[in-house]
Amino acid sequence: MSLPEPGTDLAHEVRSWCRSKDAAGWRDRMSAAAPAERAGLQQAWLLQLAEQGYAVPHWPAAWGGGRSRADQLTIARELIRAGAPRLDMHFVALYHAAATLVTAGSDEQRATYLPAIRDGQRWCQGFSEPGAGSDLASLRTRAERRGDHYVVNGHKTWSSSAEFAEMCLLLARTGGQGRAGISYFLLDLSSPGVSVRPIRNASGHDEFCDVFLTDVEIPVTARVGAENEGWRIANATLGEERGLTMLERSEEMVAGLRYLTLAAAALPPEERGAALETLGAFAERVESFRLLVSRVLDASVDGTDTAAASILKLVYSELLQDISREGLAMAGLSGHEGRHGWSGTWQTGHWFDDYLRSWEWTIGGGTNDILRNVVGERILGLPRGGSR
Amino acid sequence: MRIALPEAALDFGRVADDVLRAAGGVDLARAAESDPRAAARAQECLAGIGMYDIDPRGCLEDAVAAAELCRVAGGHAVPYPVAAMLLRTSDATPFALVDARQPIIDHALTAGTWTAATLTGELFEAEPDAPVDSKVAPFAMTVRLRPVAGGTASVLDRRLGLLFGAWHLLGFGQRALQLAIEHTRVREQFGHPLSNFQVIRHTLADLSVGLEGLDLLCRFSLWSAFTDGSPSLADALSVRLEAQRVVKHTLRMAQQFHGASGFADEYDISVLVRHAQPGLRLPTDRGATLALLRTAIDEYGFDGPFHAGGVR
Repeated sequence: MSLPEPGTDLAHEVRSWCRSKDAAGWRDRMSAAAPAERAGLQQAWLLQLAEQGYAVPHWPAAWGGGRSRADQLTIARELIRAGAPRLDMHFVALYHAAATLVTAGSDEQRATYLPAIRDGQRWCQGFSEPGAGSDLASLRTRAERRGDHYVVNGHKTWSSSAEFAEMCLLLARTGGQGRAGISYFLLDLSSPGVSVRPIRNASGHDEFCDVFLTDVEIPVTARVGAENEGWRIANATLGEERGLTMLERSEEMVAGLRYLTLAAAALPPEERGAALETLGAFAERVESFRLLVSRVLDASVDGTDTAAASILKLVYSELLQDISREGLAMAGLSGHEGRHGWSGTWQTGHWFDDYLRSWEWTIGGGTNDILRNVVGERILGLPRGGSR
Repeated sequence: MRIALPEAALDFGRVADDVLRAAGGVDLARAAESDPRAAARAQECLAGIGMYDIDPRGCLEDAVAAAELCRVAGGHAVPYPVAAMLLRTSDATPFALVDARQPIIDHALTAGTWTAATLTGELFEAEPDAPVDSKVAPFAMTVRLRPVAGGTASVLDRRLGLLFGAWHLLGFGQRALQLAIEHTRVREQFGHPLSNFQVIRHTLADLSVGLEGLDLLCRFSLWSAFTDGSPSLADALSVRLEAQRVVKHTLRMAQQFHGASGFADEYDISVLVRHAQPGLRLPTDRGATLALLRTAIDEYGFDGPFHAGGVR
């Protein structure tokens, strides 16, 4: 396990590039923009990163990545420090879709989609259904094979940013019940029969969506891996979401601490003492989280140990909620106000948004309740079903 | 100390609940974010059951009816400042507690002029200024304050302002728990209703115990507001602090048990969570409540429900 030293050549290079591109300015523009406009801004920023070799450092070298873990960390850290915008609309594409293509896709699929993703193609995830959330293996969206294509009918939900996505990672039932009857598809969202409906959420945003599929045709060549092998593939590549991305998130935590420090400094002197104690406790937890990320990633060279990666999401989500809560507490009543992107806060530029959005993190991508079961069963070796 | 609520107040609460439910319940709140007529409909319902006939400062019986109305209104996230209107200082001038350094009032557009008071008793006239521009506090606005020369807000007004706020939050919490119970009974995953999982049953049990305790504290403090002549706000502040702790946690867990549905506005819990936020933070967030409570205890001591051997 090793953390790179700050001040390396790469760090200097990224830092000065960010300065020349006014990374912080991008962040402000993006925070203030309406969703459709934000999609365009994110794509433009991604292209600039790609040109510089900073967009996909975690991909294999053949596809424009091949950076060491230390370099990935340095790039992520410098971008975050410079206030570079987070590419949340490209998150599924850059991590989950790419990992799926690299580990299980055909040569043709890789050649079609990896360059497209690097050029800004947006993807969403079509896993959850109204009746299949934590119990994903009970999903009912059906794909019937008819010659050289499948006909798909069903309803996917909680699909983040699907409204702006072009492609979707889709799990659908091709066989019998349970895990063994599921196949994995790459769905072109412009296909006839697909309709996407944004869902207004508790923090007042329309980020996640329903995706309705009515007689949608998907070519057999868009299936990933063999028929009914979808569960295994999904499980392997979900590790990407919980593993490698946490590298970036752990650096973002450090930025979160910096914003908290600024908030603490702005407090009246009589309140500052208690705030500093809180900050100290968070500093320990953030550092421990960073070390945990390194250990889990080092232990699973390809970043796909989903059980170990489950721990990362558990720790991250609960730490994120605690930090956001303290940020809001320190902001006091001014946390209620704020022009998005202006108030100098952490993820969204608005402590209140950060706080309410952090609540989603113990649910999305596997609820923490399910992840605790994974830890109990797959790491501690407790019997299955003991949670009931 | 009296714990049982008078039957008349309970009846009034039941009538209010029926009327609000018939008018759409949480749908009123859902609609109000884009349509101001929803707030007007809520107001009509409340006027129809006699909200404006209650004089919460006059006697404990009326105060209990007012508090019960606040609790019921919280349970539907009614898009109208019920507590502020119950405590109005003239026909059209609602009363709100504010932080003078950062004066914000929820549903401020309800009136052109408000009476506002700080917890230390400074009295102001307040005028709505600008929306706070937060998606999670859709009706909250900053207000401009003008001091009322020589004016002081009475201890009873400040106590009732805090207590009605706590009853209002209690209503949010009770409704959130009810929604969580309903959802976990019918939502099946892994072949079982979620409520079959012990971790969920245990948490629901803990939430209900927390709310039960808060309910009793709310009742005690309202009684003591009329029976204890001390100028201390310690009772009322301690109830606010407990309401902030218990209700925030209840909302959070109720949303967690709804899974992603808990974040979708089609589900009532999502709307409740959002609309509870201003009440959880105005006029004091937990830190500020705690600081004020410390000061109040320093100054006047704190007997709480246990008069013998109280802290001083």
